[in-house]
Amino acid sequence: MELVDRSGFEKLPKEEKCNNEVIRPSMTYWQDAWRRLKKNKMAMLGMYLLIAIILIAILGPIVSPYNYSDQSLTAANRPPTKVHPFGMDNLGRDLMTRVFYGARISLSIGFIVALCTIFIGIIYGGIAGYVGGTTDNIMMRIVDVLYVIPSTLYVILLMLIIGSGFKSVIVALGATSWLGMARQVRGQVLSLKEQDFVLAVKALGADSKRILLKHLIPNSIGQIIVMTTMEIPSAIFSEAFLSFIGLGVSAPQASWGVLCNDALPTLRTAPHELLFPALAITLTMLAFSFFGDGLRDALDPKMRK
Amino acid sequence: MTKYVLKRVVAMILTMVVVITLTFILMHAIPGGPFAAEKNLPDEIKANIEAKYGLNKPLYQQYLDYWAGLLKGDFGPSYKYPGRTVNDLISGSFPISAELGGYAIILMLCLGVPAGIISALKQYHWQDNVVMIFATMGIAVPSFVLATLSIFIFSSKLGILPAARWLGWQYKILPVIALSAYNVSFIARLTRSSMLDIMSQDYIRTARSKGLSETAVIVKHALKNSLIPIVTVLGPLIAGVLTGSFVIEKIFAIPGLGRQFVDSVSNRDYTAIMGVTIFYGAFLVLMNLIVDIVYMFIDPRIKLTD
Repeated sequence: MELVDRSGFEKLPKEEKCNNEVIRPSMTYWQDAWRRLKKNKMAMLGMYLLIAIILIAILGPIVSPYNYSDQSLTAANRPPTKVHPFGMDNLGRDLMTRVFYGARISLSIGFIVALCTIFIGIIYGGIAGYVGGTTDNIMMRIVDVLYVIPSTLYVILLMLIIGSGFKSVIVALGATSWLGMARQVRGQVLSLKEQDFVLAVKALGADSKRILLKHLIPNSIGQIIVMTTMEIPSAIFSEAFLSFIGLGVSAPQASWGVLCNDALPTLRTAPHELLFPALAITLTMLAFSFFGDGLRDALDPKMRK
Repeated sequence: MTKYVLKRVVAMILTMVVVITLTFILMHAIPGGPFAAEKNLPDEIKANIEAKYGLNKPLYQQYLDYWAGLLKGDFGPSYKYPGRTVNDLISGSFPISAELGGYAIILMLCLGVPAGIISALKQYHWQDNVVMIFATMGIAVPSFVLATLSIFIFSSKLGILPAARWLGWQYKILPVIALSAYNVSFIARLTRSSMLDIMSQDYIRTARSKGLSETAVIVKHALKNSLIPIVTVLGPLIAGVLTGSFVIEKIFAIPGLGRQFVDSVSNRDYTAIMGVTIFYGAFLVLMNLIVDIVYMFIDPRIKLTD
């Protein structure tokens, strides 16, 4: 064997060394998603709107000079003025404060119900997908059966059992809204668990719990987040719906749905009482819808270039 | 094929057993009992009422009795309206709800599907923008807001359409629009994305390269396949129309089953709530079965062996 002559080679300067490397800086999944989200104007608009609404929900009732339950019956149903920009409601309460306070109630319900949904959905779907076999079959048949009946019916029955109120709404909605999430998570886990990296982790000696919590769930987190941004507005919608048929949060607390319902008897004479809470719901729905759509496009790995 | 249908029918019966049992358990878990609202009832009268409706029997016996009634198609007496049965309540109000819901579904298909197709074919043109703006609004505005606003504008201000009740055709315009707005928007968006997906498929390019006219490509090749996803969401959408009618019927004072259900809930009319829930359940399960069978016929990609 002949030795290669060293003189046949020369050292390159440092800059030229990099010429053949990939120019694009390496990005994590989240940086990449954030970059794509930033390009989507509607999604960013939705995001800023959401931040604004959340800030109003937190700060609005504190900053407002009025209390959400202070009444002055002489000023009932008064249209918007400089002092009361949204006008007064049927009991002479400042409507702006009530709409801001309603944002707290409605958004809290949305977020807490979504958290319940994620929690139950991940555990249920994760176990069904990971264990597989008969367990999966039985668990998913149960979901199939429950899925056929609109959850609204069961929410109403549950509300009758536990009585109306803020906590009851959350319990009833949380108990019925996890079915879609469970299906989605199961699907993700099923498709992920056959992949090589899971085999590699298994070969390294990880137990099922670790594989599920450290590898399978984090890999489906994008999908879960997208589902959540859809779940929050749907919970807000459901609560408004329940309040509208008289089963929502109880007075003097008021969600946006309650405010809309309260405005009905005086619709002809004081339409502003419906207008502002309705506008609040609609804007929130729009914001979630823009943001959710943008997020779905940004987090979908199929779109990754 | 027959095996598939049979399997679905068995699943349907199983679903109904679960629905009936679950509803029964939930209804009997409500604290207080059906006649708790009647104040200061002497014990003897209370015992009499309970004996009349079989409430003094053990729970499993009540459950079996209820089943015996159901198998004969009998939902039992209404607790709130003496002398009337739950069957009377349902048969009196369901046709109205069915009419309202039927119109809403027709509108959803006749408006939503063409809007979605136009939007997809004219992507990024003004037609697309108009459809998408309406579709986005339709999803964001809750039906009860749309209903009340439309009453305010068309009845209170303009005075051209009636605000309530269910008589002639002019009474039906506002409720049908309010009930179907969400679904029309949903279908339009779904049709649009499905159509866009299909139009970028290879077989569409093949059809074009054969020299087919654009109309033939769209009508013969794209349209049929892009409608398949719509059939799959029909089940949930029908369910949405059903529950949506709770609110719409209440606002427009329409004497349909939705309002009946909401009234039963506020009256705590136990048997009526139970009966209507089970009736809704059976109706939806049946609709889902029909949708599944239709789906099987139109999508050749589904394997019938399962």
